Amino acid sequence: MLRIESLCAYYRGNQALKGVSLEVQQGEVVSLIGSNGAGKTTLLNCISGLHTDRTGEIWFREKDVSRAQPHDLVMLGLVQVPENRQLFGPMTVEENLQMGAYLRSGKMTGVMLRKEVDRLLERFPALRSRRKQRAGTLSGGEQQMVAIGRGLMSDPRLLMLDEPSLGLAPMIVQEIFSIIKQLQREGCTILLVEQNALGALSLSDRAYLLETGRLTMSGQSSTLIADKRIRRAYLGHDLET
Amino acid sequence: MDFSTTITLNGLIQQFLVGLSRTTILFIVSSGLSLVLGVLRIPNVAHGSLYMIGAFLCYSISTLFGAGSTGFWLAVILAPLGVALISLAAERGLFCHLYDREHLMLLLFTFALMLLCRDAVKIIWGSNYRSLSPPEILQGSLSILGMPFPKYNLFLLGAGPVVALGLWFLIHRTKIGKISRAAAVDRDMVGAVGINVSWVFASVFVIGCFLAGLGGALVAPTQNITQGMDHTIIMEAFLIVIIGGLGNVWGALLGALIFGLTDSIGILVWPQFSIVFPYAVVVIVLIFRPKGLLKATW
Repeated sequence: MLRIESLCAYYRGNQALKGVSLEVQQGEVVSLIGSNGAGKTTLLNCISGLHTDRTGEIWFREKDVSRAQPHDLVMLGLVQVPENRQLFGPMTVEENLQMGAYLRSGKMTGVMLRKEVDRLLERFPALRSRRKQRAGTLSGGEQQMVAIGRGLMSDPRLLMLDEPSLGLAPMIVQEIFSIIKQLQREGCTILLVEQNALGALSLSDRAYLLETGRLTMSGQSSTLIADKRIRRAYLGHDLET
Repeated sequence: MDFSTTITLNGLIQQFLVGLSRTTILFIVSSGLSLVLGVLRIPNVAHGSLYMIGAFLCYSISTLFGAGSTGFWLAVILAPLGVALISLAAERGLFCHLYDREHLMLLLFTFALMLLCRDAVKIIWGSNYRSLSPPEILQGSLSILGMPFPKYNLFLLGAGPVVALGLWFLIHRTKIGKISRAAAVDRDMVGAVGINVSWVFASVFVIGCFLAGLGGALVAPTQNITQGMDHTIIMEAFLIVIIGGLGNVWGALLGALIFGLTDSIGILVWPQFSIVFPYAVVVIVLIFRPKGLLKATW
C-alpha cells in the first residue's frame, strides 16, 4: 500500500533522514520506533507532503506521490494524525470532526454528516457528552481521541499516527492503545510512530527502528521485542539481562 | 468652557445615532480587513484603496444607469462585486505566490498595491472629487425626537446588522466559514485534513475585499468621493482591528462601535478636540488589553 524508496530529508542543509526505505502492506499495523530526534516525525511529514525539502520516492496505492500536495494525499486516503494532536482549539469537538470529513462532505447533506459524526462518537463514548465543547478545553486523552476521530472521518486507507501516547497518563495511554487495537481488528492499515517502544511493539505486526535518520533494524514486532539491543536501549531492561 | 448648555439629551441621542451609522461603515470595512488578517495573515494596507475604488465604482455605475434610484441600487450591488473581481485577480496573480514569505514582504507588497491603486484611481477618475446623492426614497430626513435625522443614515443603521448577521452565518454555518476559522488556528493542519488551502485563501481574500468595496459603495452618498479617502479609512480600520483583537471579526464589530461612538459623542462634548477621543480610547484599551478586547481567534 505504501512504499518508500531511499528517502532523504533536509532541514536547512542538515540531513534528517539518510536513505530510508520502508513498506506498509494492506491491513498491517506497522510501528516505527526510535528515540527523540531520530527523524520519526520528519518521516511522517515527508509522506504526508508537509515536509518538501527531500529526495527519494514515495509510492501510495501504486501511484508515485513524491510530489503530491497534502490535500491530494488525503483524497487518496493517506491521513496523518499529527504529533500534539493539532486540533482546532476554539472550535467544538463536532466541528473538528466535521473538518475531517469535509473532503467527502461535498457529496453529503448536513444530515448525513451529522450521522457520520454520531457513528464516530460510538467509537469514543468519552466524547459523546463533549460534542459541543471547545476542543481546546478537553483533557489530553480526549484531545487525542478527537484527533484520531478527525483522521477517521475522512475514511482513510492508511492512517499514520504520530506519537498518540505523547504526554498522556499511563492509564489513558492504555485506552488509546486499545482504540488502535480495535482499529486493527477492523482491518485498518496503520503506520504507528511511537517513542513508547514497548506499547508500539506489543500491538503492531511489524516494526522498524529509526536511529539518527537511518533504519537500523526491521522485522516482526515479536522478534524485535525479544531483541537484546532493543530491550536494552528502548525497553529499559538493561538490569534484567 | 461650559459643557452643560450645549449638551441636551436629544442632541446626545441624535449624535449617538449618527455615530452608529458611521459605525456601520467602519464595521463593514474593518471586518473584511480582520478576516483577511486572521485567516491569511496578510496586513492588507491596500484594503482602504479597495474601499475607495468601491466608492468611485459606485459613483460611476450609478451615473451610467442615469443616476436614479435603480442606478444607485445596482451600483451598491455591482461596485463591491467589481472590487471582489479586482481582488480575485490580485490574489491569483500576485498574493498567492507570497504566502510562504515573511510578514514584512507581504506588508511591503500590499503597500505597493495601495500606491498602484491610488494612481489607477487618479488616472481613471481624475483628481476632482465626486458626489453621489442617495436614491429618492432615502433622501431628506425624518424627525427623531424633534431633531432631523437623514433617512440615508437610518438605512445604514439597518444595513449594519444585516451585514453582521450575514457574516455570522457565513463564519459559523457554512463550510467555507468553518474552514476559515480552522485555518486561522492552524493553517498546515487544514491542508493535512485534505482541504485545498490555496482555494480557501482565495475565497477568504475575495470576501474580505468585497466587504471593503461594500463599505465604499455604502459610504458614497454620505461624503465626497475623493482621493485620500483610502488612507483615513485604513488608519481607522487598523486601529479598530487592533483594539478588537487581531483577526477576530466580532472584535471588529466591538472596535467599530467604540471608535464610531467616541468619535461622534466627542464632537458633541468637546468639538475642538473631537479628533482626539477615538485615539485616546484606543490608547486606553491597549494599556489594559494589549492584545485587544477579544481573543485573536473566533
